[in-house]
Amino acid sequence: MVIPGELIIEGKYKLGEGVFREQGKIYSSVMGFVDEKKGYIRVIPLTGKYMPKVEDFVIGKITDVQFSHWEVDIDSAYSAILNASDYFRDIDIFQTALAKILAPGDLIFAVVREISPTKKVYITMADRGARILKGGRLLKVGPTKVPRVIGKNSSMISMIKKETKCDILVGQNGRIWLNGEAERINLAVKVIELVEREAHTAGLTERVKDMLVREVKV
Amino acid sequence: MKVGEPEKFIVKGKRLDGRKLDELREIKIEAGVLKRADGSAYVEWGGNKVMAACYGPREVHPRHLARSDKAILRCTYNMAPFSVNDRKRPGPDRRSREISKVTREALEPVVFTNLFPRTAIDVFIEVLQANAGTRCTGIAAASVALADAGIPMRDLVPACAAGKVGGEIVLDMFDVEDNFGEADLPVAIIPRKKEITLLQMDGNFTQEEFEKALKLAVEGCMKVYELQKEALRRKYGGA
Amino acid sequence: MFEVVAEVKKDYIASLLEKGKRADDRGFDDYRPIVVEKGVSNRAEGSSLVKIGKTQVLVGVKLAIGEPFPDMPNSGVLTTNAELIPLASPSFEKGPPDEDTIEIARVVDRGIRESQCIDLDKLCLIPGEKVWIIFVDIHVLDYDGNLFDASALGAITALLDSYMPKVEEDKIIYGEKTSEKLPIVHKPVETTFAKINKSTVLDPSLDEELVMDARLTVATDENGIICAMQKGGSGTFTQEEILDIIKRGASKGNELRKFLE
Repeated sequence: MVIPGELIIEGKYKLGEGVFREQGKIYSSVMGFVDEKKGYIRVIPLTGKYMPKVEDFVIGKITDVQFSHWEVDIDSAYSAILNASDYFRDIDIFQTALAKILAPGDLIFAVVREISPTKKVYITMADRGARILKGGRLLKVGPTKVPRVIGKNSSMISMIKKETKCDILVGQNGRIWLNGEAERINLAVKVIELVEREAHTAGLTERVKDMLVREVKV
Repeated sequence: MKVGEPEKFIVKGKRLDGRKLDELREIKIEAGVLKRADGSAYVEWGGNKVMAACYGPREVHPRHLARSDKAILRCTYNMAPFSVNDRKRPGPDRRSREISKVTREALEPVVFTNLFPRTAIDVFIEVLQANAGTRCTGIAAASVALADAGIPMRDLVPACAAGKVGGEIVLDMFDVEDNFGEADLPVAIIPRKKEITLLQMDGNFTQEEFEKALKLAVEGCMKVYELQKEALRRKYGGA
Repeated sequence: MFEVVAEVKKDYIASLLEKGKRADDRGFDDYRPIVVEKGVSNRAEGSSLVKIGKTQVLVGVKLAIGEPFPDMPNSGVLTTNAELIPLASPSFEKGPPDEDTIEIARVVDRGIRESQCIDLDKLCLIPGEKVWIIFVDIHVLDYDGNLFDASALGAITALLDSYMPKVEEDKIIYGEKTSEKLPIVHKPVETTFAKINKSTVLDPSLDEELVMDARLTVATDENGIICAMQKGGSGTFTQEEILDIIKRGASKGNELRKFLE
């Protein structure tokens, strides 16, 4: 694990996130793990707010309604904008008040469409995976743990969904929405919290499987 | 002599609390201690107990304070009313506001604010128990809290004070030494190049004494730096 | 206070400095023209107007009688305040002191206090009960860079200019001065250096101050003793730069003290 200001390496590498160059040497700017791939050096941060990337699925909460767009909180340094034109069906904004479609407090599963140079984040629901989330329960994990919660080829999250028979949507911003039977949701939450706590340990998949099998039977 | 001033500060190379001239008080640093803050740290330094928290980057309110090209760093140093012998009235007084300012100026040089335009990074330092050197404790804690929050930085920022007591240059004074001492020099540095980001001084030094005190303070900072790194590794290194 | 400056200006100033020149043709260790006037506000027990270049600061000293601090029952009390009043700059706003204002007041205060400038023990009237309170109020009239040095010079000048007012039956008769002056034993002054990229210059002009990376103020007394220092700004200094600035500051301080004669 590296910490801010720690020397990683010297040499001609391309810089990814979490690193900076000073007089030919490459240092870490955050707490995290060094990852080197194809000449790119980056540090995967252990902590930190979600930084939106185009094509990420995120779970957002409507915070404000304007004439032609909604303002959406995605638990990031920046809030997002959902234009009426990015809703999954056509809206005539002169005929329909947007607040009647989505009101402050509503949850949506949407995709990051564009990030402007001034870091304005635009999300869209014009995607097959996008949904309005009604009911269910919302859980938050550290955004850096999301890959582990999803697992390689979605193996981890699929296993959890299968065993708990819950509908689970994972946002890259660390928000997770679960729907299903109340007790099953509780189990899913316990399991996901276990994954978050032990994300960097070995044998996690086995422990998760064991927990699911054990607790579902009860 | 002031009321309550001890007769001697240094006897046979040992100070009133038993330390050597260049010895730091005992310091404990813990990272990631608060749930709601994006980053946090708790430091016990001698008789000081300081909690630091970081929120951000987050949107700026009021909006007109936002900078279009970078994040603004805001620091608030505050002392709890019960943290000192004579209860301190709640709310920022002039000393707290000055310390807030120099704290911000001590941390700003390392934060990559350009990565987060139009946001604010808010740092809160709360002194829960005071015994001289709270601003250095606060800066050291804030630095760990920023790292805990994942804020990209060039380095951590340790801080430490040196001073003159009983005519001798000493490191890290405690309250009796601070109250009756002849000079106080709190310093914060960027360890990699030993660049100085905080420097204040009051009292009296000749130029030679100042140079000696500055060197000593910087050495103290480097020791604090090791403790800051260790605190972060202890919290997350097992991960 | 907050002023916006174009990056273009910083490049211009910095490149001049690299060639050893300042935008106003001064040497790196030259003050702008300094003018010091005394006794400019006649209700004050002491006052001064200091101009450094176009920066103008008026400092007034008022004396009152009050209670001593509990931990110093036999000493007079010194308190320093500053106001960056709106007429002094388009960027100064009405209202309570902001952090810059507080910083100036406290740094000037420390220069006076830590140098033991005033023999406060001589200002005790009834031990533990009544002492003289000295109010030093810094009133900035025109901000064109380097408020620290102008305010500090103004403060010591005003203190030196002060006469004790007449006291009759525990009441101060303002307006009737005695011939007694404040017991001043040291003459602290402050010298401020700005760092721009790798150059350090004395007495930053407004432009230099707006583009500077960091600032270091050094207060020295007539014996070259350093009694206060303050680094400001979000840049850094190396140890060598600091030691170099102290040397230059102590020597320039003597030049400033000539205005006190």
